[in-house]
Amino acid sequence: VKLSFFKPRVQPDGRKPPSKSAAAPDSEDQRLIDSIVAGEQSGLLGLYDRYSARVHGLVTYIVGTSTAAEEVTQDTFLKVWQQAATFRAEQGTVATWLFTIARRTAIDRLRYENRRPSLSEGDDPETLWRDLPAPGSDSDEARWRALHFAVQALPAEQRQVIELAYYGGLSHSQIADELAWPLGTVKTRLRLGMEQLRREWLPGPRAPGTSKDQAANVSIDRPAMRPDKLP
Amino acid sequence: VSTDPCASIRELLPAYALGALDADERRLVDSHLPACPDCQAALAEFRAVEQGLLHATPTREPPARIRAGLIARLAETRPPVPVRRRRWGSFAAGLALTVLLALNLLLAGQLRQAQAQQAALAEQLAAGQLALELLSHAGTRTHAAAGESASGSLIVNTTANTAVLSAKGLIELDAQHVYQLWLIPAEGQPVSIGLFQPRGQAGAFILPIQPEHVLADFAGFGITIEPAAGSPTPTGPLVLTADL
Repeated sequence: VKLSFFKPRVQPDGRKPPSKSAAAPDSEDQRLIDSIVAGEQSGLLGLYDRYSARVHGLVTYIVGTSTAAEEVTQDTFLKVWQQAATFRAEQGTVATWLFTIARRTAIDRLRYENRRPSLSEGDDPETLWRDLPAPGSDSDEARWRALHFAVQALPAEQRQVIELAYYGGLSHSQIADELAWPLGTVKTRLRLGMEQLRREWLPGPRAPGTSKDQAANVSIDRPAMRPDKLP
Repeated sequence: VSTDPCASIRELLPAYALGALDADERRLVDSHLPACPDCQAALAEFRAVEQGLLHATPTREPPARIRAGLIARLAETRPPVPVRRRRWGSFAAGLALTVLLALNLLLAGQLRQAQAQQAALAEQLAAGQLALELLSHAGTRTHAAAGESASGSLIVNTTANTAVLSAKGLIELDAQHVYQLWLIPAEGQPVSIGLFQPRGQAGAFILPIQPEHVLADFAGFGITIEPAAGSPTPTGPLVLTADL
């Protein structure tokens, strides 16, 4: 399987999908959700075709390359099939809702197997970066890439704590046990790391709490972080 | 600023957004947030980072067999139940006929399943010695429980007015929804006996039967999906029923 990190999906006619600002994919996502609620399999498969690579990427990042990742990805979309009626547009985007289900399903799998998150990006880093969108682009992909780089650029001990918490579902005290660090150290490192990500990734003075889905509406008004900042 | 109550809360918000606080500190933040717009605003920024992290992992094309397997599983899973109000009066009346008939047809499979689950129960019931004791009583009966995607069995002892539900296939609900448990009389409105947040999709659970609810007086048992605070009468889809 070839990795294509943040590669924009190409539509059947060869065009790249329109950017969020151009055509609001939210309305298409909502249409697919409505279709699923009506019991139409085509709606679920449509959502799968739009998001399966990103769901599978997230899931693989958590549970590792394995049969488990395949099962978790499939289980995620089966849950969407069963729970689509519980989606509420006013609480966020379809993508965020879908990835939240995927993350929880993957973490449940880790707990079931009593494992820790994989946090591996795969075996071919060269491929990962080849298909990146142009630097400075304000596409969604560029924004997620910038955050990914910001995480990679954190001091290793801060990054480790944040990733164990978020992709491993562990609490402060569980992380302290896992890493054999003092609890206070874990708390400080997690806080410093998150504050750094906020500074790096969110644009300057803003009025928080005004939009329904902060992550999806924030635009980057500073140069995106560059790949050469990678460790 | 040691007098500022927000200062200590602010330090917790990054971990709160990630879901990494231990229970005591999480309660601290939960109780502070509703009355503090400043902390809510600060939290919104960390939430934005948290949601961003959902998107900030490498993509990976899944093998085609995942899609094929999904289609196969969709075919054997019935479509989601449209959320609509059921007429519970007619439901209770029809229960004896339609559900009993369906359950009879499924009985052989259900019994094997119930037996397997009872064996599995022995371990899970470490959490509930009561349930083990129940199973050893002569007056205890096991009823098959069935739903769209969930199934299981209901172990009932009317003398002790105690019941244990063993279920699987209960899907994980979001924070805005909860399972609600109902006892269904032969006539009249279902009676709520509590809300239910299963840990995992399968497991055993002691039903919170209060003394004023006499199990022997009810004809059925049901679980619906309701808004997080629960509902006075069932409004959501019925996910599991058992005939008592």
